[in-house]
Amino acid sequence: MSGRDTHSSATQVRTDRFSATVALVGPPNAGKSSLFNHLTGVRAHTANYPGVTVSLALGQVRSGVEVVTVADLPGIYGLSPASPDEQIVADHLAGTAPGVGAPEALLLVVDVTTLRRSLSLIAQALATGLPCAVALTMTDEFHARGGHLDVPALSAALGVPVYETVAHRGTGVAQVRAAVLDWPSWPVAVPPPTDDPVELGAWISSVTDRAGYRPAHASSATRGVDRVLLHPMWGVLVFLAVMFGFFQVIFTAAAPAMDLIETFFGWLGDLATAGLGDSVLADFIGTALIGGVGGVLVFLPQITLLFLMVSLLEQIGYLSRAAFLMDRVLAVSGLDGRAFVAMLSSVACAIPGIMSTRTMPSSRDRIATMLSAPLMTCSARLPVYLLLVALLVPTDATWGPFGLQGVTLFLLYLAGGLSALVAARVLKSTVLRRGGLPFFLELPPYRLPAPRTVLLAVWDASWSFLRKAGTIILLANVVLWVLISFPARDTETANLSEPEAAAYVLDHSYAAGIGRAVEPVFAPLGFDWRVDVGLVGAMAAREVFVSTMGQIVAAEDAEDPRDALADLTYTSGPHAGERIFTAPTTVALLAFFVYAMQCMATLVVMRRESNSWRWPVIAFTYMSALAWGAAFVARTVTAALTG
Amino acid sequence: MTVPEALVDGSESLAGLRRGASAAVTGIVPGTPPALARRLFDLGFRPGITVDCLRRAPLGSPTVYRVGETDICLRRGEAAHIRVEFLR
Repeated sequence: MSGRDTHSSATQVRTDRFSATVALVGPPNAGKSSLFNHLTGVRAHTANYPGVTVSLALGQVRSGVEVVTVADLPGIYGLSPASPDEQIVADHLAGTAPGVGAPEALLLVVDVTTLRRSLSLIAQALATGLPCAVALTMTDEFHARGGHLDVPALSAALGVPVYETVAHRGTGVAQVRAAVLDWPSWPVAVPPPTDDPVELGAWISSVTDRAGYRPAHASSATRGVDRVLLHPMWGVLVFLAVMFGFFQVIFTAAAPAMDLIETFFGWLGDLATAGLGDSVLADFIGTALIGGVGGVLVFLPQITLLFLMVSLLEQIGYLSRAAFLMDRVLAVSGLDGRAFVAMLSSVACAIPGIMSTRTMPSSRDRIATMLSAPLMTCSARLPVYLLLVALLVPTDATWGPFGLQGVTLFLLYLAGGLSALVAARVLKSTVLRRGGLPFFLELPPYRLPAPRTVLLAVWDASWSFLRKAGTIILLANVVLWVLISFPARDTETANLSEPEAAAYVLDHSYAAGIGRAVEPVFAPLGFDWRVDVGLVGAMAAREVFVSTMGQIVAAEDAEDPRDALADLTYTSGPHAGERIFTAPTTVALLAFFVYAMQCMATLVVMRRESNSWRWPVIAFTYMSALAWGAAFVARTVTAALTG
Repeated sequence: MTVPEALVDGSESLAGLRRGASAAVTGIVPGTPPALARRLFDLGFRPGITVDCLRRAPLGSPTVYRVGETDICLRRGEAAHIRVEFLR
């Protein structure tokens, strides 16, 4: 594995092999991606959060017939790779990055408020021997905070041209664009001494002296806000409030939009079915196609809202503060504070959660988070939990002053959260060992978000989800529909009522064949083949388990099959005639749902974000094994306790 | 990866810096992996620079330092690799 596992952004365009490439190199948080957007008009995700650009995005600068390709590289502090992500930059500069040749020239993008710190990176970039130019960003903030710099003198000291910009406003961008088109005129600087820290330190001092550099004061506004937001008590309270609001928005505010999408596509599907008559084609269009499209679009409200909030929090600078506050907690799992957004979002849905790992600078942490986040209790598990808990625990049962059903539900959420942390810990100490990668986190000054950049981030996430993941999710839905609806049983079901006919088709479908075939695997857990069919259906989305079970038992109301399920009995084997949903089986099924990776959409998104099938395969394997083991233990223990 | 706060030769590491106190960086602790030493230099922890310990996270880790023009958080393990001279 290497930095190549990082997501390929929707903003990537095909490189014109005949045009020269100018690479943007700079530290995280310097407004590099913002400058890229202004230069090329192509979208790249940008944010006020160190390390957010995790793959190189390519765009083009044109003027008449002249074309120059611009590559936006991940933000880095130095050119000697200390992490797999920095390897991307090193690979690219050496010409060994896949799909794109070495750049012909480097545009060094540097936040002038951190010039002295950044001179180490500038020195290493100048030492590559490539033609270079420097674009200074945040110049307005620099002067407002009392900084001073003689730009022509800096240019003379470095031996390359220097341009001043305010990237997020577009000020100075025209000059930079003209300079990029004119890159052959950029000089190759005399290589600074980069190997010896003492010599490099002396070179940095001589450059800052010659350029009359006076650093800007620390932002007093940032200091003041941090006194509250990083305060041991107030900071934690604000953090909890922000996260509560964040969670409310993805969980609750997205719900009406999701309901609307589901209702609309349900209505559209019914309309299509009715219009086309009672045929297989009608069912295909109504259920598989229209239902499948709805099944993809239903994720969009959560994805757009999540990225809207994450992007705003990043740009403002709060996300790195939250990572600072949460670091100690996540350190237990071997991750760092930056993983918490993904973990928290996964309580709503693992798909936006996995997509939000884009904000994490380390590939290994990103993969570890992707593989463990699906254990967090997502909202699709809730309907299944509600059904099974109702079968297990009487409504009026209490534990002290608390309803026992609620306590059980809480324990299920707790089990998911703790399991995710343990899984991350295990992954980080085995296949994803950290390998000495140090932890560091820059707390940038608070800055106003640029609406354009926020909207582009939301658009980028939504569009790449639809384009790359949506198509595969749709295909998977069609395959499931085929499994559940075929072979056709028109003659056998001619005289049956609709629920009975549906039950008959399902009982004799390919899915039922699969259910019977895998029955021996799940028999030790107490699941009979009909429960197994429900588990096959749950691969589309966990909550489908409820309606699939409803169809199997031909319940009058397929969305609430509780009573019919309670009376379901084994049809064969040593327990024939006995109830299936006894306490041990129900507990086993709950444990199974806590751990099983039943969501194909999650696997597809994992593939897309990690750029490899390897990680979804590993996730599916370890979670399936865990699910079976946990269900078996749960069944055995419950059976021993209840006699 | 942890080293003692008070180093063998009697000098001190950044990990021992109390909140609100300042120190001057004198170098990197011998035996530090080269990649980490390089990274700490790139982050601004360079000989001669003054570091202020701004605050620790509520659970005691990590710690925010003002180093030169930026605020950087480090965990104790990393801070222990930076050799400093406390300023009083």
